[in-house]
Formats: sequence, C-alpha cells, structure tokens
Amino acid sequence: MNADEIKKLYKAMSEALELKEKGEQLSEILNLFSEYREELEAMFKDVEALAFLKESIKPTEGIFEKIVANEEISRLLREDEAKHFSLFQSIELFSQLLTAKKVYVGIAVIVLIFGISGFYYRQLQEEIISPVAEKKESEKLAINNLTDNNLTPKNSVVLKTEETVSFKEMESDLTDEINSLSVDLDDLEEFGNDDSFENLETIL
Amino acid sequence: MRQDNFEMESEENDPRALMRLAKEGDSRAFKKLYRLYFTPIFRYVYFRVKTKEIAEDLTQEVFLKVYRSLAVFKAAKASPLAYFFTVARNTVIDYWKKKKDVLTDDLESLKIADKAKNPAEITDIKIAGEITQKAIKKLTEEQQEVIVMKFISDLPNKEIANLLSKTEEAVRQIQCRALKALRQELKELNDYL
Repeated sequence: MNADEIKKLYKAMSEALELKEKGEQLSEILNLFSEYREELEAMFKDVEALAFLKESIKPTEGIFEKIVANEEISRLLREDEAKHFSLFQSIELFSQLLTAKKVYVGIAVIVLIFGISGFYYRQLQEEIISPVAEKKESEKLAINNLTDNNLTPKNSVVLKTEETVSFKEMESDLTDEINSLSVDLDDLEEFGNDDSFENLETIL
Repeated sequence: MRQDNFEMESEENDPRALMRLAKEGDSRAFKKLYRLYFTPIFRYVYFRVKTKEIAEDLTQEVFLKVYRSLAVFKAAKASPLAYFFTVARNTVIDYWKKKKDVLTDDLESLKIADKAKNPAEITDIKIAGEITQKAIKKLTEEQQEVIVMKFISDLPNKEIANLLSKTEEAVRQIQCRALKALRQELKELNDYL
C-alpha cells in the first residue's frame, strides 16, 4: 500500500467509525466501503474487543461510598454544606424581612422614627428650659435685695429682674433730688434773711 | 451516541450546571459529578497505571484536585469532562514522575463483567481482555491515549482534540493509525499464543 492508498484507507476507517457511532448498521457501512471491507471488518472486530475490555474494567464495588466517606473529602463536603447553609439562611432571612415580613419592617421603621424624634425633642426642650431657670435664679436674688432694703414686702414674688433695676435707679434718683431740694431750700432761707431784698421792696 | 453517556438530557444532571452548582458550594452537585465521571476516569487511569488499587487511589486524587480547584474552573473555556480528564492526565504523569517507574507487561487480571456464563467462557474473555490490553500497551504513548480516551473512556473526538491540543481531524488520523497498529499487535500476539 502506498501513501495515497493508506490515506484513503484512513479516511474510510474514520468515516465508517463515525457512521457506526451514529447508529448505522455494520452491514450497511461495509457495503458503503466495499473496497475496504476486509480492513473495516477487522477494525470493527477490534473496536468490539475494546468495548468488551471497557465493560470488564470496573472499579471495586462500593468504592464511591468509600471515597465519599474519605476523611478529607467528607470534611470538605461538610464545610461547604455549612458555608452554603449559613449563606442561604442569611439571604432567606433578609428576603423574608423585605417581602413577607413587611409589617414588622414597617413597625420597626415607625418605632425608629419616634425614637429619633423623641431624642431631638428632648434636646430642644433642654435648650429652651435652661435660660428660664437662670431667670428664676435672678428673680430670687432681686427679691432678696429688695426685702433686705425694706423696699418691698417679703412675700413679693411678682417682681422681675428689670423692675428691680428700675427701683434701684429710682431710689438713687430720689435721693439725689431730695438732696438738691434741700440745697435749694437752704438757699431760699438765705434769700429770705437778706436785707437787700427789704431795701428793694421799699424803693419799689 | 457515545457522548450521550455523559451529557444527560435532564437539566439537573447536566455536567455544566452541576459544575456551576458545585462552584457555588452545592456538595450534592459534586456528588452527582462523582457518579457521572468516576468510572470513565477510573478506566482511563487504570490503563495508565499498573494496578486497580493504584487506579482507584489516583481517581480519588483526581476528584479531590478538581474539588479544590473548582473556583478556577471556567465553563466557557472547557467542558467539565475535558477538565476532569486534564486533571486525570496530569495526575497520572505526576504519579509516574514520582515512581520513576516504567510500564511493565505483568498485567493484572481484569475483573470480568458478570455477563459470562461459564468458567470456560470467563477464561476466554479474560485471555482476550489481557491480549487486547497487552496490544494497547505496545502502541505509542499518543496512540494509547487516543485509543483509551476514545474506546475505553468513551470521550467524543472533540473533547480528545481539546485535551491533546490537536484538531479533530488529527485525532481521527491518530485513531485510524492506532487501530491499524493494534490490529497488527493483536495478530502477532494471537500467532504467538
């Protein structure tokens, strides 16, 4: 057989194998390549022997169970199952919260909003209350001052800080006025005792 | 016809879907892949090593390696079957590198399928099996691989081409040459016996 003939034989063998794989009958294939019948018959005989050999090679019975029971493999499988489970659980829990448990999520959101609002309201109240407290402190001081100076009754509670300041100013102003009036009175008395006034009266 | 053994019709047994699930941590999917590929991988490994026990140990190693490397498996680049066989090939190569041994002719008795009817028939089948195996081992490394992948592990030509980094046409040619060489070896062995 020359190189060209060998090439043709290989082509026929290849096509015949392909047809057999597709389920074509052996007799049909041999008829199709009648000029290579002898070679193809021998080839299919060998293929059959290989198929038989294949069937005879089997792993030990129960080897699969033995392998799955292998310490390392079973540890890996268990680890993965656990990992897979926890991840799955987390996703499931999250999806439940987002879908089936919408009511609980709604309640939780409302409670959260109330909580935050309450906190800020309390903060605001403290800011408002503080200056009033200071004012009340100053009121007490003012009342004490007035009572110490016998300017107001001891039970006075209505006085305001601003009014207390006015009283003090008034007291000071009145004292000044009284003093100036006293000076004027003295001057007038001096004028009254002056002789020149009597001389002038006589002339007129 | 042959590849139908691996590519199951149902979605839940589809090797690509199973690999994807296994990558996501589904151990049941990996167990299914185990059941699907164990025997063809074992048969391939068996032809590359000396004994059944070693073949079983190495097959187990193959599955462990695949399991550990699931994260790097890319379905778009290779089929799960090709991936398993690549790992199996490398495992066998590593085994022989460690052993620094050579294949010998002391064939282990094959486990015969239960189809045989009587002891005489069992003996005939056993002898025929041993002769065929012996003939295969006389082929070149490349021819052996193609013959075992094609006729013992039932891989489609496309997968074999991927595994050996060859074209499908080149694989077909190697097959034909290997079959012709096998015929010659068997003839010589039968004449000798």
